[in-house]
Amino acid sequence: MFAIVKFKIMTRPFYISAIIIPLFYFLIGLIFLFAPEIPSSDISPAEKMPQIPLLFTQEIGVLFVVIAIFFRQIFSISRETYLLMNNTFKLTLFLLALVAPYLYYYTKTPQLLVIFGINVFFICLLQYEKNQSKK
Amino acid sequence: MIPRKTILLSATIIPGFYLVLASLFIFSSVLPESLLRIVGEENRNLAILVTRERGVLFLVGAILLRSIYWTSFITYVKLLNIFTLIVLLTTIIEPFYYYYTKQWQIWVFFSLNIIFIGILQYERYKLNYDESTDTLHR
Repeated sequence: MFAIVKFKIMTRPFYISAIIIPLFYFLIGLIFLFAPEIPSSDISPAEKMPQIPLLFTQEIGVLFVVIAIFFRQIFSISRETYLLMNNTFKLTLFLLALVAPYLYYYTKTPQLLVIFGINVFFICLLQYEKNQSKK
Repeated sequence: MIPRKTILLSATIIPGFYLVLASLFIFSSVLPESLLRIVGEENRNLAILVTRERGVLFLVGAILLRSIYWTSFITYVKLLNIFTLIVLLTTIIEPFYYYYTKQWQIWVFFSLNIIFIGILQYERYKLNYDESTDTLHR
């Protein structure tokens, strides 16, 4: 009995990235969707620019939710596919990470650097999980 | 039962469309015009910035969609309803955009997204995936 349970656990590996990456993007997506004033005021300094139209911020929120759904659903349906797509996930997170310094260059908002750091951490986490699965 | 890999139309045209759209959003400086109408000409840089971010997000979506198809055909088929939900989410925004910008092109994107939903559902129906037995009946 114990052997069967152990075998089942071994065949269904657990990846922490499959929880924290979708959760992070889902929460950011919700903030962008339902409180678009917060990210808009961060991106556009009050003295130079008006608030970015909230609709565009909400669309970005929808796209973040979409990314979260992608990550989570792939993991839910097939953990093997999730592992095989590890490099793709790293590429997408790299692209998302690149946006932050680009936005920072124009807006000088420190929160963007935090987001950049979080994305780099996610890339490292995915690489770590890939290395662990090889062992 | 793992089926022989078949070519799915949705796995080509949806990532293809969003890839072209993303390229336009990232490399074109003409497209932010709709945003300029709202924020004003003096904020051109801001409009380009936000448009490029949207472009990157479209690019990420296209890469993820195509990669799933390349990596695992069966996972792609299982995710067809999720893709429908995702395309539906992006479709819902379009009428809101039209309300603010009054640009006819938005209805073209809206129609294309509806076509994509139709294709995704048709493929799901055609492949006849049975969730209870985890089998494709073709």
